[in-house]
Amino acid sequence: MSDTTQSIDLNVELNRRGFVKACTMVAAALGISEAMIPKLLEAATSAERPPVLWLHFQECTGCTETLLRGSHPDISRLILEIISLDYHETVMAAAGHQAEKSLQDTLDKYAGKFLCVVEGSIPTKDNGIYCKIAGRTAVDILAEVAPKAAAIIAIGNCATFGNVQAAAPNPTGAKGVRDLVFDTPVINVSGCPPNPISFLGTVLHYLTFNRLPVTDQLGRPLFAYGRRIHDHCERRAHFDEGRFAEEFGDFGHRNGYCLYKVGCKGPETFANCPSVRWNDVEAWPVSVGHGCIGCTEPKFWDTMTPFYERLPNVKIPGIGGVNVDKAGKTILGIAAAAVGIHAAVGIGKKLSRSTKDDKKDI
Amino acid sequence: MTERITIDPITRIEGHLRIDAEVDDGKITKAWSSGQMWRGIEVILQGRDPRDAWLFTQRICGVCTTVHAIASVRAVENALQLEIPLNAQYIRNMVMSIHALQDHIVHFYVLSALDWVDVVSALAADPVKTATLAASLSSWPNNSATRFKAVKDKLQGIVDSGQLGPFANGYWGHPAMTMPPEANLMAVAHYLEALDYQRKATQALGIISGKNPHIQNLSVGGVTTAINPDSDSALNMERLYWIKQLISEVRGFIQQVYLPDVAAIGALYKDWLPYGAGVTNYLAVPDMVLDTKATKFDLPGGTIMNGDLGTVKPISSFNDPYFRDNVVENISHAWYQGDWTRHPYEGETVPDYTDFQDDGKYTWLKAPRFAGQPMQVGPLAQMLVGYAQGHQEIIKNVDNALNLVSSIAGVTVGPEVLHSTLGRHVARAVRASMLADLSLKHWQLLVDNIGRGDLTIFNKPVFPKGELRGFGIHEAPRGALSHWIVIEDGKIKNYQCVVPSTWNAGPRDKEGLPGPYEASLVGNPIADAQQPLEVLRTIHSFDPCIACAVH
Amino acid sequence: MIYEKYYVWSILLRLYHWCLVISVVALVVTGFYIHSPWTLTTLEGTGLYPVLAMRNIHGLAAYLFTAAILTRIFLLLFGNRHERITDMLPVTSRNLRNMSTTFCSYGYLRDCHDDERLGHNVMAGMIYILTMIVALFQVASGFYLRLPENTFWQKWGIILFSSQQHARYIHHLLMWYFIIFALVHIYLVIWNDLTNEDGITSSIFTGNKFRPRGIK
Ligand code: HEM
Ligand code: HEM
Ligand code: NFV
Ligand code: SF4
Ligand code: SF4
Ligand code: F3S
Ligand SMILES: [Mg+2]
Repeated sequence: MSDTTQSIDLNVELNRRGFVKACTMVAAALGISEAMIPKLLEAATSAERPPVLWLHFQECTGCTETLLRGSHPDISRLILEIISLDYHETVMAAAGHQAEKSLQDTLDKYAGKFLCVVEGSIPTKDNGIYCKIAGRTAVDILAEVAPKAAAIIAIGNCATFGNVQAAAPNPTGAKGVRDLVFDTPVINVSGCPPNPISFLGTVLHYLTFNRLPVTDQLGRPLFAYGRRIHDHCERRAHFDEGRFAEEFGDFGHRNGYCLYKVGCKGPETFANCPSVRWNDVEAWPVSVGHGCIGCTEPKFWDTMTPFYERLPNVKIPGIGGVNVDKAGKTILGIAAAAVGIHAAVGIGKKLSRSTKDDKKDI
Repeated sequence: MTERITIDPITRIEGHLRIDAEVDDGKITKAWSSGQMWRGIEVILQGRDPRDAWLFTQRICGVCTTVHAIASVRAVENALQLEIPLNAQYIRNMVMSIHALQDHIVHFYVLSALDWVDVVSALAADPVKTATLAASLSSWPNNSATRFKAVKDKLQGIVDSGQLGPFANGYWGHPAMTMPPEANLMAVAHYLEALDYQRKATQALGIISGKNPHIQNLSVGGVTTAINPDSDSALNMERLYWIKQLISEVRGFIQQVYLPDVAAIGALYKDWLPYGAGVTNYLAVPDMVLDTKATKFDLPGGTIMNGDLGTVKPISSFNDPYFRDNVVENISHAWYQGDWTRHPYEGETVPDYTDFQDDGKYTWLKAPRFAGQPMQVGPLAQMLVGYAQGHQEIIKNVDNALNLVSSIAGVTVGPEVLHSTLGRHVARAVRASMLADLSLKHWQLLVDNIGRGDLTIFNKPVFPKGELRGFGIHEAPRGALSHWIVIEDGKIKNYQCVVPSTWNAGPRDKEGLPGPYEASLVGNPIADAQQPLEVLRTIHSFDPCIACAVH
Repeated sequence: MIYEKYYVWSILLRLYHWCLVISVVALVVTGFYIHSPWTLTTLEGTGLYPVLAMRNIHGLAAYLFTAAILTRIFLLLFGNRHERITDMLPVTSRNLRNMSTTFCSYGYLRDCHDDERLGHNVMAGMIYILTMIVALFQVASGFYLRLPENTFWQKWGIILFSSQQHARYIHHLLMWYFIIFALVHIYLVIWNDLTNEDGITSSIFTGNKFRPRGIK
């Protein structure tokens, strides 16, 4: 007893129609005019599929998983019709020597032509021993592959900014790709994980125009990271009108009020979440009552935490993290005490002097 | 003659795993399992706000996304002895079960099917015969000859293009690939279809959790998914029915495609049923919570020793001392400083790399032990623990699956065949099918509770001065997960994760007892040491996740 | 004793001072509010928009603050001799001497009041220069927060503060500098007025200070 009648269409005509639709959606997401769609189609269906090498380093595979959730194009269309995914540890049939052969084959045959995707940060401490594949460190593998790539897409906060493993005290010296690669163009599709739309948009932009999209100062494409969450959030009117959820589950929370006071980091995070949403179901963190945690930003594990407070704590050696206002008030208190003592000493001196020579002339 | 093989990287898993084996006379005699990547998340958590921990630990894994999040909030709540509102329990249960549906589908089709399915052989299949074969297994409406022909043509196109992409250098034509072309074509078609159905599961999960991978609707004390049937900015009936629709579609796929496929592959490879048992001590923890204090569950937990179902002992609450007091980790063979065996509350994670030493330290994984024994965890453990305890739903579902295998294989098989490489696949498919039913059940429980006017989702945590200890358990797709936390003055003092794949993929311990991966490889046949497909079969059957195992 | 009136603080400096005072008070109050809005408007449709209003006041005060700081920087270079940077830092032997006399007078060490001076004592001068520097960071972080998409501010914001949240954090932390400065500053102004005869408080209103005749 099936609850569904849905099927995947492998019929060639329908397939193409669906694909044109997918391209139209991508074009819209990228802000490309309708007139460009034939070019997009052509690029995406040209005879030789552009080879892609996908490297995994210090990561959780969430970025690969995000791609499984992409729908325009979906994963099978992407890897069977648009690109040739020649190396990707999570999906490739071959293992061990056979897998490494696939990597070498593409490096040899397509040097300077393939697109490299990096998922995961690169541990640099202790000669890179914290991540090894086929006996080689991530540092060494990146050093071999990066110079031969036409361009590199760093996917996820790990590959862009080091992410969680780079959070203090960064025990493995984890770094992002742009900290290590300087001679090959690197574009940062940040997020933990990024929305598949942001990644696919970047790939299709590149395949269509043969250049990378325009980025912000941190190397993130503007079409996906050009605006702060806060500026496109559906709860913004509540923010402006001072209507806040004070606690999860309270009246304001149940009525869609702003999550600023329960720690939302939308005001300091650049991403398209409120506009493109997630998982094709119009959802995103704020829509389920949780603040943004700033997952597209550098160092967000240190600067956006505690996640349920507005600001990070001041690190004071020997004491640890202290709330900013607590620190301010403490110093203010010390200053006030100093002022008080100073005044008291002054008054004391004055009193003792005036008793000594109370006939001092004017 | 003994031959040493090293497979690095093991692909179609999560993470960086290296397997070494000694092969003697076409059989594996000794094996090593080695995790090759460490991030230090347990170290990074020290000194932080316990309310934040779940967002950090969730990043341990993006494949079993959600599970370290759930285990973490439970650990903190356990330390505070904080009760969780019913709605929040149901929402967490739906998160858990819906995610597991996606994870199990992806594991079978994307990560392990190519161990048994010869993609190139599918080109020789007759689409009409394929449709007949498929119709004999289920009445899934997409199993038409037209569709199988389209898949075959598409496959031919890829092969003709010369750009095989992820299929390049695969083990096509390997002597251990013995299924008929029609079965292969059917499986390839279902592989492509699986990609669509796993996505539907993620959509259902997205509606309730904001996004995934890496959900964002939990909090210590409950969930943040506000419920309000009279608002467009909270969980209302429109969204709930959307979720239900998606779960129902995925359930159809699991029960009519995934489960029959596994049964068919199991039956067609029945010569593989004797291989891969390995460690037959099993551990599962109870989950799908039914009350606010976590004492009643839809899925049972417990232990079984030495493959003897008679030894079963239950684990029956989130405070159960039988579990709490029996878990330790050993680092004799792991790249950490020292040579100790410790309870997780006393555990530490100080790296100390030595390179691969056959008899010394050779992996980043610690070796967890339960009452001194290595344990196998995962769907198989849960099914066996339930079966042994007389859990009616589990018995019914396991027996049905075994009957299906028996009827295709033409021989009668009982639960004893489950102690094997293929048994792990069967148990996983059965679990997926049960979780599909259970997620609908918990959907109904949630709706009924909302109908009674209860909209509560959160109990505020308050951290007292002084030291608190707590542990959070969760039956993840790969098995029993536990997080252990020590909180001092509202800050994390120690945090240790003891993870399913650490149980399974962990190294030898101080006594030299191998972990389940290592033990299960021993005795596996190897037809061609240069193409160690058989190793992949057994290792993949555990559903390895090395980012989980080392974190 | 006969006192003579000296014109010390130009109108521009006095204007600057009071603009600074007004803007800092407004910025601190609205800053606290932005950090943690204390009004609770569960009434919908009031049209009060308190957060918007507070942010607008913050923005307005920020421009006043910025203008004041820029004015003072102009005076540091082109103001009268009491207002220039050279009169405020311990860069001449006279200023160095003043530093030690100020130190001893603030420390009640002996009766060591430096009569030769009309402008700031050098201790005060140094703190005022520091305040200008802190103010510039406050302005830079503020504009980076205000205009995050602007390529100029994005570039300099990232160079100076890294991400938006870093900037917000520093911005908030520096607020405490101004609060603490104001406390100590107002105290010392009163203290000076009580211990000296030059009429320091009125000088910031009228521009004049007083000295016994004959002393320059
Ligand atoms: C003495 C001077 C100033 C003080 C004490 C001050 C104080 C503050 C404080 C406490 C906050 C809240 C930060 C938080 O979230 O905790 C804030 C936010 C802000 N300030 Fe200032 N500020 C000053 C000057 C400026 C200037 C010169 C600008 C320039 C435009 C500025 C622009 C902003 C902006 C844009 C925000 C963020 C508002 C929002 O995100 O809604 N501030 N300020
Ligand atoms: C009622 C409150 C205040 C009074 C009566 C007052 C009075 C004065 C006086 C008398 C001076 C001149 C001191 C001298 O000759 O050395 C002065 C200078 C100064 N005050 Fe205030 N002040 C007040 C509040 C503030 C506040 C709140 C601030 C800023 C946070 C401030 C910032 C300054 C600065 C920066 C100068 C140095 C002027 C310069 O740049 O040359 N004042 N104030
Ligand atoms: N092992 C493991 Fe997980 C699971 N299931 C975690 O707890 O995969 Ni990433
Ligand atoms: S960016 Fe996040 S989702 Fe992607 S690999 Fe890193 S931790 Fe996982
Ligand atoms: S919920 Fe977050 S992003 Fe949305 S308006 Fe409030 S603070 Fe801004
Ligand atoms: S946490 Fe990340 S997913 Fe979007 S809402 Fe915030 S950037
Ligand atoms: Mg651990």
